[in-house]
Amino acid sequence: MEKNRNLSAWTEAGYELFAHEGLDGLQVERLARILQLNKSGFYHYFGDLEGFCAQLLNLHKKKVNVFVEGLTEITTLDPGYLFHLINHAATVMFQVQLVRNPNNNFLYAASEMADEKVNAAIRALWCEYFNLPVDTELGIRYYMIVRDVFYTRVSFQNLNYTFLHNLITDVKAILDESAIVNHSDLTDLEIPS
Amino acid sequence: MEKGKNSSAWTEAGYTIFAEEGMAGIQVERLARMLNLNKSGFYHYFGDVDGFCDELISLHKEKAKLFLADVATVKSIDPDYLMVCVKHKKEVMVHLQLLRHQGNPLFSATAEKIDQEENFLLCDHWTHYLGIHDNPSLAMRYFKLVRDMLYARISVKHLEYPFLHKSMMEAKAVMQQMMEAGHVKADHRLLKSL
Repeated sequence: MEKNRNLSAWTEAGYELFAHEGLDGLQVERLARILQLNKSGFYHYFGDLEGFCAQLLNLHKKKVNVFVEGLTEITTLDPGYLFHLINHAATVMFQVQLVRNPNNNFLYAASEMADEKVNAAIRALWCEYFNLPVDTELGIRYYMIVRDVFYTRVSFQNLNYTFLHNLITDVKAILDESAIVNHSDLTDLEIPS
Repeated sequence: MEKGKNSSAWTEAGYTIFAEEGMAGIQVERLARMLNLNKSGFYHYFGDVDGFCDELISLHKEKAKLFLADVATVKSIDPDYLMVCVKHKKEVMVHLQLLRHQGNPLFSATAEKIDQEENFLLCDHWTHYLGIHDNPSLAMRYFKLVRDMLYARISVKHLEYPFLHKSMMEAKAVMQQMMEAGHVKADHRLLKSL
């Protein structure tokens, strides 16, 4: 019992640290200091840093599942989904850190799995917000662009409603204005007199 | 003379690490080891890590001028502008790190100023690339999204033409679909009104 509690103390603290600073933040010494535990426990449970990372990715998978399950109760993108992101800040930022390591296949593959789950779960809410039919490809393709913009701009500090609402409002306005633009390839659509 | 050379050895090495790892990578101990120099030199030249960051920002501004000078010569987004980004890989990565440290006012102000100059230089090429001639302000708002989308998944290794080209094509295709979706709706409205 005591053992399990300690093991999850290490992984929870590691998860939080990784969400804030990424892989560079994970130092056994530092975790031990934060938790006031002996380093030997770390090596006993996880073997080495790689073993520890594998546990963190497992934990992430579970937290992403909780995030996705929670979506079933949400009925709007703004404010519903935006607050959902804020309420799961650590999970969101852990995911962001994974994406920021495109050279590490181990981490990057985990980020792709999480992205796929969320893509499928968010599709209906997303398309509804933009007044797009759910079966159109455009909705999900635009979502993937906006998601990556979010990944670049977000931090623990700015993961708040104002930031998210401004982003989504701008994104919606771009789509709405694009729909009425007179672009050069479609000049044949003029109204017949 | 010797002094100037050593101080720029610190900033050049710091710039390279910053490009790859951001602020987390800036450790005096590590820089000293890389350069085979004594830490005391670092404190002598820069005072502390904050002082060192100020120098890195000055260096970035210098390098950004060269980047922008190249941007000013491009005749197209793809391939010209994308090739300029590949050529200035390190500067682009430093720029990305600045964006990721939004909490630091010096970093975000520096990034924003460079972005504004770049927007100005690219505006015509970008509206042409998208085929939106009558609404450049819309085109440039979309450009800001696309630029930040590209930044999400680049690294020193990934910042190559094929990756940039593929992402740019996707951004253009999505914009074209958005414009077409609008025209389909307009057609429906027109049919209903007839």
